[in-house]
Amino acid sequence: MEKIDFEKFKKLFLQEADEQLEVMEKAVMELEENGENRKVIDEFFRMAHSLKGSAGSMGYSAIADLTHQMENVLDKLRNNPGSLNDDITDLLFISIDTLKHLRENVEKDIPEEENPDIQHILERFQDFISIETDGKKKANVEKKIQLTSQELKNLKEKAGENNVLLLCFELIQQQEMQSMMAFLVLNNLKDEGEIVKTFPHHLEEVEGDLPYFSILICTEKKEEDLVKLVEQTLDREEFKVFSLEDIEQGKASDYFQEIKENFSRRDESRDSIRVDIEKVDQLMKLVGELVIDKERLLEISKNIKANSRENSEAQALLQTIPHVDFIATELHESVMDIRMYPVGSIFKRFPRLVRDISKQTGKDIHLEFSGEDTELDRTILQEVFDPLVHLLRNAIDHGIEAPSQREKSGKPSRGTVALNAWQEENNIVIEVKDDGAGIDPEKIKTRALEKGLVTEAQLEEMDQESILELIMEPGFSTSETVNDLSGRGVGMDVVRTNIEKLDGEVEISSEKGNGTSIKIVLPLTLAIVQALMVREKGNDYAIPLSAIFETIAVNGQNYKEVIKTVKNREVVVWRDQVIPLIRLSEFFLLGDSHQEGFLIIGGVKGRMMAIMVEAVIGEQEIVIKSLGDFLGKDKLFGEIPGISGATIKGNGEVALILDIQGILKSFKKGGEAIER
Amino acid sequence: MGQIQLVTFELSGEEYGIDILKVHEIKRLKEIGITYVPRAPEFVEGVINLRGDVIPIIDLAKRFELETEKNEKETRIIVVKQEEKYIGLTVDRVNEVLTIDSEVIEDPPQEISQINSFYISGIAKYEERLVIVLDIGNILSPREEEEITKTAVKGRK
Repeated sequence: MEKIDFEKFKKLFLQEADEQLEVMEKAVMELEENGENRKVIDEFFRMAHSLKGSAGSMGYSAIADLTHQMENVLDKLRNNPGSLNDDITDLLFISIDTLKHLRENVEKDIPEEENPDIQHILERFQDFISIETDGKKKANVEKKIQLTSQELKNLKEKAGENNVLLLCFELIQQQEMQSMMAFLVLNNLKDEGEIVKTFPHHLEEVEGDLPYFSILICTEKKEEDLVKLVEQTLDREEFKVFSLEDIEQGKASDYFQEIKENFSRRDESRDSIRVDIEKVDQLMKLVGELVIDKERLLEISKNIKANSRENSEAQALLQTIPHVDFIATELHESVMDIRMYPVGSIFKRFPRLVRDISKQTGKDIHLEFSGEDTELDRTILQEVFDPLVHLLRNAIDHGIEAPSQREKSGKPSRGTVALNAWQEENNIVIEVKDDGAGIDPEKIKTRALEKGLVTEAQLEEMDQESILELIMEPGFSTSETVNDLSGRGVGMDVVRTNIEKLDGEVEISSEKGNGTSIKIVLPLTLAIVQALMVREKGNDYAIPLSAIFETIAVNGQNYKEVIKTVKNREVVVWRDQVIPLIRLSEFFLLGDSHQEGFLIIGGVKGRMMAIMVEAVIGEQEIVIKSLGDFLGKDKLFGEIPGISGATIKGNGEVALILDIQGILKSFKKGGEAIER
Repeated sequence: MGQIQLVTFELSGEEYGIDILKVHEIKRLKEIGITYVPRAPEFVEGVINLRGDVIPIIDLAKRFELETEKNEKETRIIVVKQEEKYIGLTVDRVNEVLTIDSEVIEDPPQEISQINSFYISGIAKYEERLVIVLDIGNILSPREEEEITKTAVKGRK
């Protein structure tokens, strides 16, 4: 090609590149602002593709390489809708900036060799392209330990007195929480030297399965010291250490290859597929509909039973319905199971957070986990992350004392915060526990009085637990007051509101001087529960069975035995406990109550009550429909104590779901319901 | 010149209109079993099952604090969609769908109607009729906001 021609082509190339870059930039901004859009991605792809083509033919290899990777990632986006995230748009922005830079260099005739190093950008692309379809990053199985000769040279220079060590991990024992283990190991190693490289590249961000990975570290420490450190987290047989020499001789790559093969052999035995969560949600919705119809069928079958003993068709139907009932329940459980996720999947995001907060606050914190494999409905799990962050922050910021103060009170200077999870009947409990200063009830009382949240008289009647719960009252504490009181009230009302939205509750226990435990108690599932249907003044209400201990029929004969009056308030003596009686019709302002009916004994341990209803209709599965759009402060209905949602009955009408905790709470606030 | 279609209905003797784009469907009151919601504001008649969704029914007359005599036969529920939520409004009678020039709709003068001007987005003068065009968003706003605006806002929002 003649020189003149080349200049002409270069000019043309630059012109085109300007246009293409402009379109690409617009596209990525559009994607960032308005989310994924096939048309925009297509346009973007076309531009990247033609830039790649022209750059390639002109011999601008850096531009060609970069656009090639952009093409790949865009193609990936096209094939996996919904996988666009901020990291990708960031990377695309960076790429476009780099392309602009490269384009300038072309214009200034700067030789290719002097272009900025784009290797790191290309690597980031490589990571994205190996991302699984659901946006979750998975270790790139194909990736070998590879160091370029340049990197090896740099390492040797760095080495000098330091040790360059490659730690290769194969997690044999740890089947769960692999990426979390990787994170922990990496975190520990960070303090011991410089992490030169990890495989996969962004080790900290990988979620889920990570059967093998490696860390290249440059450290002053001896090999055996590092081994000891890692052994705190993993068994010795789960990792191997290679020296720089080993790496040069290719021993490390061989080893990696070997474990990779081992793994793929092992992996063949269990098949799994990845499914879009939306599909599972849709399935869940359909199962919900099926459950409603199933309840309708059961209702119809009751009528048939009574009316048509002779009809053989009817009898056949009666035999089929219980099977449908069984299948629907099984189906429901299976779908629920798909939606279950280990809580560890969010726990693993906390070590980093805790590290940051402890740095900020100058406190030495040891974070412990237990029950990471406890499973919870995915939707609930997502919603519970923010409240947990809040609780952890509070625990470190306000719970754990400064190291010097801890030593004075005879505690180890390092504070411990534990995240525990376990299942308790139909609930999942997640606990944030610290060994800090605890909450001083006297201070809470003073503050609550100051803020006018309670009266002296009300305080008199409150037990320890209710007093602690005051910190969750809106307005109890504001950010200005963080430091005077142990400050636990900051945002605690938000935590409680968020948890109650999930049908859960927050329990606080604390011992002054010895730490605090805050438990989030959550239902296993939000979607379908067993409930007892009751009737009052012509309306049906559903009460989740998990909240009920017993039902007692009350009639003229046993009335006086069961229901007593203490201090002008009706109570029920149940299993040697005196518990308050709440008449549903009075609580809901539906009119006068009745002498006969049923007592529903419910609540949680220590906070029980009896609710008087007209009739008990029976147990059934209910599909919970949220009233969240209308129920609550500043919403159409306002706050209605005692109602948590709604469900659809077999006959297609709506029944409200009673919230036992809510009734009790509202009742406790000075018996408002009865006096009104 | 743009045109607008209004679903018009009667409430306590006055004629009202809602932009048809907000209207999802119209149901007969008799067809539905309404479940009473205890301790809800008085204007909430209850909730119904609309094809698997639980939606509230608002008694529009009560919402506007109007006296009204219901003739159940004529009473209809207009299901409107506001911010992705469905809500049913009971009205005395549904009249028709009116197509008018949007220019015909004027800003509401104060005290034009028996109802609080907070709920009104405009007045349509059409032939000899006066149709009060409602602001659905404000009708469905929560209790507290309503209290504030009753005292603070007089006139068009």
